[in-house]
Amino acid sequence: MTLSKHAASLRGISRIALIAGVLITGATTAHAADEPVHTVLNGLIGNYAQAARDSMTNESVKELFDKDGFRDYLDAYPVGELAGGFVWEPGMGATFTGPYSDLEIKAPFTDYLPLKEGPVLNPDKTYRIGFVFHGFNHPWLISLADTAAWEAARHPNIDIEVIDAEFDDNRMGQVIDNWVAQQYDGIVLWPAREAPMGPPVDRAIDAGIPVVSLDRRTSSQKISSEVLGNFYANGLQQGLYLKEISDGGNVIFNRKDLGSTADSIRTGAFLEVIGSEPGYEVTGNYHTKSQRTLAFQATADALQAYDDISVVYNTGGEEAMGSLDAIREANRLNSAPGGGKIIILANDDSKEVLKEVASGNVDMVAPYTPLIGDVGIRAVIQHIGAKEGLNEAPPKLIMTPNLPMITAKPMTIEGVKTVTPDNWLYAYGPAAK
Amino acid sequence: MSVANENLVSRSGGLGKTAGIWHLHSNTINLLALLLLLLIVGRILSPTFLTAENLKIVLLAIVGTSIIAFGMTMVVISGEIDLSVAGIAVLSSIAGAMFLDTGSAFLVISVTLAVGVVLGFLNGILVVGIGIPSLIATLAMLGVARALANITSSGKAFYPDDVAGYLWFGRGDIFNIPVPIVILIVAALLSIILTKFTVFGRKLYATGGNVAAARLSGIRTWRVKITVFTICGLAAAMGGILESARLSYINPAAFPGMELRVLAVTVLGGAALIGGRGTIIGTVLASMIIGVINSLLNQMGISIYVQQVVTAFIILAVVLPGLKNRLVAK
Amino acid sequence: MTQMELMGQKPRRIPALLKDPLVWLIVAVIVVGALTSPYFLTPLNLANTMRNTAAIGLLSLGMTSVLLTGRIDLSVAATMVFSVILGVVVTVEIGALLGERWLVRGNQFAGPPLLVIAVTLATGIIVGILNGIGVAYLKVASFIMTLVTLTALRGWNYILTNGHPYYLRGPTFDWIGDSVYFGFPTGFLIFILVLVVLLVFLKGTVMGSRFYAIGGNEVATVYTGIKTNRYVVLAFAISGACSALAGVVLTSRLKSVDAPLGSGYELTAIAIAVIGGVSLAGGIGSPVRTVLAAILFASVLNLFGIWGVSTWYQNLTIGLALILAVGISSVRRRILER
Repeated sequence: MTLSKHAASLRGISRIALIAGVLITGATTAHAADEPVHTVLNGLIGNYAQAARDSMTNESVKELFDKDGFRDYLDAYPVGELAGGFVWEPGMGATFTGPYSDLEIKAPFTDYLPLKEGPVLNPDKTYRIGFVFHGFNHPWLISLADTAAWEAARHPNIDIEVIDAEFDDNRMGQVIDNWVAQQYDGIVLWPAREAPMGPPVDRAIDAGIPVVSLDRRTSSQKISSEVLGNFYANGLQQGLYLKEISDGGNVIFNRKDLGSTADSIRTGAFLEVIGSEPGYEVTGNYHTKSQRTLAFQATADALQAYDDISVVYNTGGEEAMGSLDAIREANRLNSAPGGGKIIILANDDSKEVLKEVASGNVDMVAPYTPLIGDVGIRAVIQHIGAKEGLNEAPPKLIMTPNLPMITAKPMTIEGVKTVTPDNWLYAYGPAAK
Repeated sequence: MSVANENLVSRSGGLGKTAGIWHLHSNTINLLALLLLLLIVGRILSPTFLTAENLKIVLLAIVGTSIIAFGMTMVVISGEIDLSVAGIAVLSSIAGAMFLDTGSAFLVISVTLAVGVVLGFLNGILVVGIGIPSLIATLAMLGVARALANITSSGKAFYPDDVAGYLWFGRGDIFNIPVPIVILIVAALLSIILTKFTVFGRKLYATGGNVAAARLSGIRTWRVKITVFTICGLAAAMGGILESARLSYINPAAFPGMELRVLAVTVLGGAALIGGRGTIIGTVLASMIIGVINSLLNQMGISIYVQQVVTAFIILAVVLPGLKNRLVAK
Repeated sequence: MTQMELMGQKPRRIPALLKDPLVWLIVAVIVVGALTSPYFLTPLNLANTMRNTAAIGLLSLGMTSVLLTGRIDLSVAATMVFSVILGVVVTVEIGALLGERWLVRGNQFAGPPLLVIAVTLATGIIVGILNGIGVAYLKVASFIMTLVTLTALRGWNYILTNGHPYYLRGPTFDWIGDSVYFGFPTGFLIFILVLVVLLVFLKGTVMGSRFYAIGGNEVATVYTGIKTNRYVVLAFAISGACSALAGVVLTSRLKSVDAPLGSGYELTAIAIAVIGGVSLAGGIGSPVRTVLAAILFASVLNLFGIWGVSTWYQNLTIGLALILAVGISSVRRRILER
């Protein structure tokens, strides 16, 4: 069952326009190392997407690509410029202690869609904002909540309610309906799945309440804004890195749950990049649902089944750690054909993963920062302001800046300057000892 | 779920066939045959399947579930059920993790096991002392334990990287056999001895078989049940330690859905929820069967979703043949 | 069951209800809610609460009918999702045979809604019948049989959909999911309708009374010549139908069906049935009290939501409350038995 193009939707048309713009920008900035990394990565995304659409000569990659319907997901995913012409450089952003995690955090995008500290909008009014997500006990997600709560705390007339729906989509919908019944002023959500979240968001919008989604998307067309993460740049950079340091080999995949945006866009982007590289072979394809133990098991079994694995592709941090543990336990870290190291590609810049990159166990990690909750809160505040006639509304699609990948030694790959773990200030989660 | 008259009826025929002093039930023989069949199939499909290396991997994968299943088997033999095992595993490991800063593996593990024992004991009190049906009592305990694990840890994970003694439980080895496997073997032997060769074991089967008759013959069934719940709590804590040590990761979201996996292994192993039936050996074989299936299917690249369906049918296939003589099944 | 019911007489129902602790707890929740929030008694909030009751309540009703016979059905939530998914898949196939394209844009269902609902209900009933045959005729313990079904269906949900959702849009689904009559949401009205039907069946027909007989003393019932196996299959079929109906109600509200939905709801359904006084050993229980328990559960959750209680504390409270509630009634029973 594949998603077909939303040909009739405005979103599709605007996306094609965006891609066209990005292609043009990409062509002219491919070798301009001074371009902000966001633009460089967008350019590369455009190039590889077009190349993949034209043809994918690697049979094994093409088979997986077609089977899971990546083309439609990728085509529907927006790629574009940052709101308000924002330019992001590594080093930007405020530092604070996370209210839930008690960790020192440097959030990269606190200057994006900026809002000064202090009372907002109508200073005599208290605004109630509901923030609903899943996974207070998941390191990525608790950091998301950290930044949202931090932003809300900067404004004395904002009351934020943070609720964990524990990965029950039905429950998240009930929470949103509850807030609509209590006439909250704004709602921000992190939807685990797209389809079930559309109707409650629509109901909130119909009731006049602005809604902003973070990271993953909903099926709602009416939503006020979507703050989108850089899934596409993640998968793309994993592919770029692999192409840079190797010619081919057997690849096993540790993927997130089938049908989730994170899985579709990252894996799809990766496959696009290696789609016409002859040397690679898709050997194992597992859905380990962001669970460390499942990834551990899948990798352990794959190592048993194949003695010639060259690459382990992971869509997330938990998966990467699980598979690394399995490889270490089996003493197979250097068992790639020719005696080289198995290349481990990861996403999610947790401190734990960064430590492994620094010590050379994990080869690269594409950051997917959870520290974007504050952007969502600011966006919804600005939507409330627009409703009250106090300011302009932010755009519907709020891209977050594409982040460069992290590698043990600094490299420049197709115009992308990588960052070393020590220089990456935004890692989330508790420090692994 | 123990109805006295129903037990009487099902006692005539069914799985009661035993063979000599080893009490090898026909069900156990079925399981052994299935396991051997699977190993042969595995060898045919993949030449490296029967190597020591691969078998080690399979065993390591099932260690946590198996040890907890030993505790669960005893609870089920006594006629009860324990759905809270995952909650006990996670709460006890979080409790132990609070002491990681002391650097003492001994302290961390002692606290973990102690909390497991206490929680298991509490289950026993709820079921035997207050009289809450074990399905509900342990279901509630599951919710409470998981909630407490989240609350006390504030949702944060712990990394025991600095405590070498703790990591040894997951990654060390004794005479080249990984520690978790050694512990698994020891736990299996102890459980078999307890259930088959001690007075307590006889009391356990009597309690599960017919609680009224057991009481009439002088067995303090309440003691038996509290004991097995406590053992199950201990097993859950131990399973939690082995899994966490292996990954060097103690987190409050751990072991999602483990209670169903443990139950699947337990019932596949021949334990029946009416009580009085089941063997540790059966559980061991069942655990290995499921481990081999999962490993084989993983290596063949078959998705975990298909594995689920296959596992379900295997359980049905094994459970079906022995049941035709029963008049009534609940 | 009261003494009067055992003797086959219809008891005075209203006074019995007035004395029921569940009713008083619901009243207490309403009072506390009204006092602590101006939004609690608003039509929208009440409608939300009722909607939240409908799906889980239907699962609990199905569970009740199985529990009455002394069995258990762990597969209710998996069946709930599976029946809708298979309903869509089969209906689309039927459409293909007729030359129609009823799945557009990859995963949007565009066929006749009444047909897909009918196929969904049929699927639920068939799953129930299969469970029932396994338990009654093949003598598999119901725990194991429905554990098998649960495991297989949850896996199969992902296989059938490949992880994608199916969107269910259109006026019929909107009507089921969103419409309200005199303040009562349609989903809730469907739930109450099922309650009435089940109540009439269980308490008002001979066949229904057999459920109680089987749960109370199955061996004796068999010896009186009643073909108990058929009734067990019927109980599971009812459970399957309720699950499918719960699926229709839930997915109409979400305007989609997705494989991970309803995870763990079977345990909640059991808890609600037990709070409603259904005995796990069989033979005791009333669908009315199950419904009251479901309403209590949803109202408490709604209240927690209005108070903004964090999820972990909600779970802790519910777990402790379950122990307290069942503990009290267990202790009472023990004292009475002495």
